[in-house]
Amino acid sequence: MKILILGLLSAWALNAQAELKVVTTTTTLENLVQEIGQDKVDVSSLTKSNQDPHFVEAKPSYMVKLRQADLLVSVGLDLEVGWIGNVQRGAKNPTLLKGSKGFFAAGDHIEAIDIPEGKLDRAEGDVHPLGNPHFHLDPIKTISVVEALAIKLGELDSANAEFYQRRAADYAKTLKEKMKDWESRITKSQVNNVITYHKSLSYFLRRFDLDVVASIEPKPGIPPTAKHIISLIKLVKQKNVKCILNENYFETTAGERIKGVTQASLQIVPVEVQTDYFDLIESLVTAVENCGKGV
Amino acid sequence: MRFTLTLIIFLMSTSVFAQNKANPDLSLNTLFTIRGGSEGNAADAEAANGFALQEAELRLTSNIDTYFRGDVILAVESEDGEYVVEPEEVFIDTLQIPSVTLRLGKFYPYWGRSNQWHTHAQPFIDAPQTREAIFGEEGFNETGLAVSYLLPTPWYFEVVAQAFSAENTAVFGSDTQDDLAGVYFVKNLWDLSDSSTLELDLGYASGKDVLFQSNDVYNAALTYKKKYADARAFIWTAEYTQARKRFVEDEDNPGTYLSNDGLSALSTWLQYQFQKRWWGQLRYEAVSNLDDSSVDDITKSSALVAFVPSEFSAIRLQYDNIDDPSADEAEQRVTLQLNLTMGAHPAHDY
Repeated sequence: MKILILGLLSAWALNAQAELKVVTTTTTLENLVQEIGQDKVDVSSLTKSNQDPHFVEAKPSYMVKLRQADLLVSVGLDLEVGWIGNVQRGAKNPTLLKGSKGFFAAGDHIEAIDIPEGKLDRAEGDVHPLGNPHFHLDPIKTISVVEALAIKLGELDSANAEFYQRRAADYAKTLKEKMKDWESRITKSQVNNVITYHKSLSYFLRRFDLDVVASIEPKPGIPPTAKHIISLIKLVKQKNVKCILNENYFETTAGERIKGVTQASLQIVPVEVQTDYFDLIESLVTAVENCGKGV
Repeated sequence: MRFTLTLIIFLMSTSVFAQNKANPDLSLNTLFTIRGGSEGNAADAEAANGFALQEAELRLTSNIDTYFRGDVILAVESEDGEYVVEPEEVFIDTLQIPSVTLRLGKFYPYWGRSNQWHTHAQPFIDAPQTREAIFGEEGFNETGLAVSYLLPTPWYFEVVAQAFSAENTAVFGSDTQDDLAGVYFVKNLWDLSDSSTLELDLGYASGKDVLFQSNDVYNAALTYKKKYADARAFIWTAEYTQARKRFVEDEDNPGTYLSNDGLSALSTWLQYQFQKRWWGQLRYEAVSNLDDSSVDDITKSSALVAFVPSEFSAIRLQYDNIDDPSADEAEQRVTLQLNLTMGAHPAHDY
């Protein structure tokens, strides 16, 4: 009987220290929340690391995940515009709607690039009207996101606000230190320019001073034609491009064709976290190094 | 004076800017078809040979304020040779009630797998017989209220209770608007794995027919979806709807009533996305007379191939074979459809 009472009491005590339930749209955001929140958060991602976050179906099981969540963390900048609204409304959890205290869009806390000017035209492909939403591959911009996330977690869980702030500061410090190593390795690789499939890597390439010669997609969201691939082959030869970075959720046929008739190395790279954020950037840096070595 | 004029222009421009930002999402779906069929122009107007604007659908969607969201869908389509504009759906949803959504207006009730699909979102060029044979060309579309509740279960389990002024003459058709029809719907969806789901929908509707006699309609639907890592996808759906015997007014002799036999319809279809932009699909349907077993089923078999260049356009080619025992020969049709979306169209349900 004593054991039963003790058991019930400890279950109650555990419940009293309930973790914040956080749901993110991507595995990268999941990892960042986990790093800041540690054992004070229960975090899961709606999408998998190899899923293209542009094209996700609003599965009802996502709504089940959000129904009891305290916080929804999204990328923002309209990356999830095609599906997140349905999931938010379907969850019937008003605290997670845009503008409510349980909603966080990382894109609100960084300065975006590639913001289109003038009138938008779908003939230009899937252009993001609010700018390029793949900012998480720039570690410095990720620091801004981590700091804003710590503030948001502290707002929802004031008892641990200082803990979140401390964790974010430590994380930022480690990331800044690691940046020096990554920058030096990319400089040593002697790779100056690359081709990517989509504009997913623009922030990473800009941060590490790598020029984007062209994209395998002729326009965002439009698969390459034979004519476009031929023009890319000419460009790769003309500009002595050593590196094709093909994001892992896009097909690789066009990249393989270009590689087959040029000196460029084809590297299939992750875009979202598979293990942790450091490993994600490490994979990209290693891919550039491999291009330099002609692997 | 110059300052005042500048100020007025500035205020006007900021006001217009603010208005643009708050405008509802606006989209237009247009469906063009060209059809060739064995019945020629003797076929129903809906299935006549030649070019046709199958439908144009204008949709406005927006949050109204913190508490409500509104949708207005206007459809332009040909009726007896003339184009008419009809409010297909006009409804509001609540946003702030935990676990519950109230929907009020004219809309397609939560019912079955296919009932809420708009024409451009149907997997085939035409609606399944579970919808068309039972509820007529316009489907099950009523004015009323729906209350949906998401149960706190580990899987998706939604229960919907609805009340409508049932005006669908194919099924209900009471002249008295306060004869409300009750429509009840349950939706279950399980994740079988990260890439596959199973959905079970069950529905029951009860209302009065033109002679104030109670009429019942039942629906069950099962859908399996599998998404492969390389952009391929597979969907199998089976849907069954049954409506009991009901009375309708004889158009040729007003004041007299005809008894319509009970009907059941079964539709089942396979959809296979074999490449990122290509789909191949097959469908089989049977409509049965529940009250006269001597009447053979009407069967319909369809095959479709679709090229989908982007999420805003699709070119679809469909073949139908319709075997109606009351006709001398089976009817055959080939239809090519261009399916286009302009503007900001809201995402479709899963």
